Amino acid sequence: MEPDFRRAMGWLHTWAGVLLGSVLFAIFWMGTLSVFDIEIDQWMKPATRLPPAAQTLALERFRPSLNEAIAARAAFWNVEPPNDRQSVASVHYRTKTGFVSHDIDPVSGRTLPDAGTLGASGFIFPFHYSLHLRIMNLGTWLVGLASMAMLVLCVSGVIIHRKIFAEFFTFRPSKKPRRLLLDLHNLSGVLGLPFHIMLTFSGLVILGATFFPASINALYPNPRGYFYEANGLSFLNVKPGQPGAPVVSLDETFARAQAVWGNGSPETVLVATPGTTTGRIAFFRDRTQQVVMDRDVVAFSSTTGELVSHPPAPRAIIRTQRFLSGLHLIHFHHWVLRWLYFMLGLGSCLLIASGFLFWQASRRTKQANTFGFRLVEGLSAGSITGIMLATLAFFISNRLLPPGAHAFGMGRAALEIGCFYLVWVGAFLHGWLRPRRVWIEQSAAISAFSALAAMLNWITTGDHPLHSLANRYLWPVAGMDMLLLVGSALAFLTARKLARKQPGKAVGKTV
Amino acid sequence: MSTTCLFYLPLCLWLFIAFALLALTQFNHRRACGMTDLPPSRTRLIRLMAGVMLLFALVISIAHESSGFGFLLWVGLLSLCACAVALLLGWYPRLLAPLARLMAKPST
Repeated sequence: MEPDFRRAMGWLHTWAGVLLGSVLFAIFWMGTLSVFDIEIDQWMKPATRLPPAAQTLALERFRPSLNEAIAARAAFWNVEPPNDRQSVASVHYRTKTGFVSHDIDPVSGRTLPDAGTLGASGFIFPFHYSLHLRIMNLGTWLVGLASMAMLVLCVSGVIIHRKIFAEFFTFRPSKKPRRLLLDLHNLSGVLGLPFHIMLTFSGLVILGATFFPASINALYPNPRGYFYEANGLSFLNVKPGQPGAPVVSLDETFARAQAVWGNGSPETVLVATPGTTTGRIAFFRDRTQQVVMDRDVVAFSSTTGELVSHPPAPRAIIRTQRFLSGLHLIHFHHWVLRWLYFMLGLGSCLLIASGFLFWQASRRTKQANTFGFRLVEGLSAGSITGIMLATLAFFISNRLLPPGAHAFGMGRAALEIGCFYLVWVGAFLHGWLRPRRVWIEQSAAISAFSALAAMLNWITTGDHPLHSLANRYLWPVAGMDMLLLVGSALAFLTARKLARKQPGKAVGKTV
Repeated sequence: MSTTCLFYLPLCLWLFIAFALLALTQFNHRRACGMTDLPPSRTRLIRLMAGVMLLFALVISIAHESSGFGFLLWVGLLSLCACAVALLLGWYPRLLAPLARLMAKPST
């Protein structure tokens, strides 16, 4: 290969990584945690830790919540029955004043007390694809830019790797830190390459309508038309009706949906514009036993119970898109694959972190006191160990804040998020103010925060790891606590090793 | 749990052996195991065998799971098992010495 070309790719790889590494790490970190979003939700909402019900709750038991939605003139109301990842049901509806969400006891049908948290599915998962920057959709565009950069980094990384096959299995823990970091970067990059490319590309495909709207704009009068057609939601394309109309029996309508499907159970039941003359009841068939996220939706009129639509099977191109969406969103229930995704996601985080650290280790001798180096050093600390600390602060605040907490004009859920950002900003500042000790101190803080989070779960709920392990329905909580404790131990060992090697000296040389 | 033991663990072991065979055709890793280099014809044969083993794992995964799950499982386990071989070669290469010896046996 031409040396100039390889050098150019090396330059591209270095600077694309340095500039967007922080965003990429945030995306991959939050994406990795999102693999277990429902399980983290259970940890953060102790009231939802319930054994699964022996019998399925009839849909009509959710009628009081539906009536509330009708009274509030909700745009939609939906219920998600319990499944093998989540033993409680949940109802959601959107009114003019906001989004309402309740968890429902699967046995009694009573509404569980509000946990006062967004949990992982309300905060961590949206952060993964929007960075919670909603102004002008900035976060989603930034995620798109970083994803494109990730693909460029993968390709340029392969090009600049001089011995990709000769060093395919090379990992030399006894070598000097700089070489070790490069080995780690190469190993996590090359061996995880299929995962990095597959997940990054499928992520871009999922948000393709945002990034590449030209074809949709050319074919549809507005993007909503595309959205309805592509997702089998054409039944929503109706004019607003008059209020005051009844909603037919949900259970009887469901029996008719089952007759259409032949068999199957719903993963979501949606009532669009409930209580109006053009209202619709739609049943989304459970598709958790396959990768492809093809929506099989049967829709009925909510006032007459008449069948409105049952779209045909999607064409090959849409099916391909849904395969890619499915493999990214892990909509399916497959525990081995879920854990594989989690471990490979951590591998992606390791890839980005080792790239950052290698950049610093290569320049520390000559540029340690330059502004640019100090800037990247603080940036990398804040974006690697900092976001871990912030996430742990989010968990700790969840266990420490009392129910109904309110301060600075913010509710409990907002306070948790406030803690996240406060600790994250603090970690960046710490990185810039104490560059020599930042990795040691933040690793030690991660260790302490992780152990504290697990401990607080025990103190506030009584569910210590042994108790959680002994009860099958508490395994998600046990898994979370175990990972926190293992993370705590690993962070402690890292901090100790860093501190022992060269106390008082810059850490990049000692990693 | 029993399915995990009967299918996923043997599959991991199978992929691990395939990658270990591939790694142990490289001189650096053979040296780390205390072995000498293999003759080129033996190297080619073993690499071919390891490649067939990897493909066979894909077929088995798809046959056991559906095509979608089987493919994703195979891709994910490829990365993890290759990583396990690399880490073992980095920290405890001697553990792979018996396999390295076996690969050279018929010609010595």
